Amino acid sequence: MIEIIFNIVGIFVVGIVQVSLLTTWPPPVSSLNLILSLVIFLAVIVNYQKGLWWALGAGLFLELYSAYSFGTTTLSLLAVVILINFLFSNLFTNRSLYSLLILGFIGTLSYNLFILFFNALALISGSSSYFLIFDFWSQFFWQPLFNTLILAIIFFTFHISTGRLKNIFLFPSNAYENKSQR
Amino acid sequence: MFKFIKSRPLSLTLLAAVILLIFLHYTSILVPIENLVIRILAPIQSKIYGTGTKVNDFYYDATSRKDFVQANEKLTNEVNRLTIENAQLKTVLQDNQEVSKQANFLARTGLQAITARVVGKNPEPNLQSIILDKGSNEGIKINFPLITDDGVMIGKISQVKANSSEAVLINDSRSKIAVIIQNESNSKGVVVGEHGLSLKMELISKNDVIKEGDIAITSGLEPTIPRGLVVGKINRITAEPNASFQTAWLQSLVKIDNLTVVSVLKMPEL
Repeated sequence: MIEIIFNIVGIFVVGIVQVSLLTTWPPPVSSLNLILSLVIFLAVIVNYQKGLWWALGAGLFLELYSAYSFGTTTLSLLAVVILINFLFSNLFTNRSLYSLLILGFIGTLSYNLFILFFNALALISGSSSYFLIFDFWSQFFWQPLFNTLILAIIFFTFHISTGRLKNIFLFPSNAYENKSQR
Repeated sequence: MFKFIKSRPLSLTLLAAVILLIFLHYTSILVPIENLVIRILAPIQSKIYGTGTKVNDFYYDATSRKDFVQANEKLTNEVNRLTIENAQLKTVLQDNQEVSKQANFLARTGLQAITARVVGKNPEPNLQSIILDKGSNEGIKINFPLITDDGVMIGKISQVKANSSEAVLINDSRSKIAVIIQNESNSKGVVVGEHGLSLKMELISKNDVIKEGDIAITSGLEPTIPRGLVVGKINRITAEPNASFQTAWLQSLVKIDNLTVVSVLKMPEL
């Protein structure tokens, strides 16, 4: 129960930072998606379930302030977690920094594609009169770049705080959790 | 934490939950909860947003300051360039005004002149002479008078070279010019320089009535200097009781030290 509350508070804190702090920074730094980075980090490094729950919670939080149709952000985050879990399970063998960065990059790109897709879907279905926003450099260059950078920072911070820095570049897949639990 | 839910059904469960929430949102059932959350979080967000804005402003100021320094440097250079350009243009304008006045005088009197630019001054402090950029090749000869402005005499040519010449100014001690005062008796006299400081008119008859403010002009007695060139204005008169002559101090009507362009009057061959 305490862990659930802790996670909910965490989602709120990160959500507020994303909505109220990062948006005040000058572009292109403002394109950094901290929530997405954290969700990817949790899904890849910590565990898949936690990534899913965070995707749901943070997605719902972002929906409160999002200009997209309700559900677009949450569905996109969930879809990203499912996608990177699929990639991680089938293409990667360990929870190394390299895996995280590559998956972070792919995850960010796919997140923006999912956003575009769900937006288009909402537009076609008539539930949204909002037009599609497509900013190539911001969505497909700066955001993946900054998200990857922040993922590296989170990775190092996590391993320094947990005292597991020695093996940061190559973690055995069962270092934290057995893959079979996933 | 989530061990009670298997991973694969969890993703499907959450997707189903999202779809349910979307439904609840669009049926406005979820809206009061959304509004409540937003209302609770608004004060915190406001503070964080304010802090973020301040940080951003600080960053902007810091980067802008760098830009301002660069812009300031650029503008300072531009101002310097324009100042120099302005000074050059002012000089040209001043020269043109000088030339124009001299041309008017020459046109009115029918005299011929050679316009010359002052290129230097005699470095000796006790000598008041200027170097001109025109010489014998342009027809300049010794003792030709120099005028400026509207016919104000400022000196005489003392040395001539092919492409340059030197003129002694009227305030030089070597300068002597025959003049008359524009009064009732047309008092005659000789103006000599006083070590570059002033002009002294000597040999004025004691019987002549002169007063401060009277104008002294060239008398025309010297073959190379025409009559009527203004030499100066009387500003002080002295007369010794037993002396035969009285003396007047003149002030030139132009600033002799700041000449840039002068006209050398071309006098007919003697």
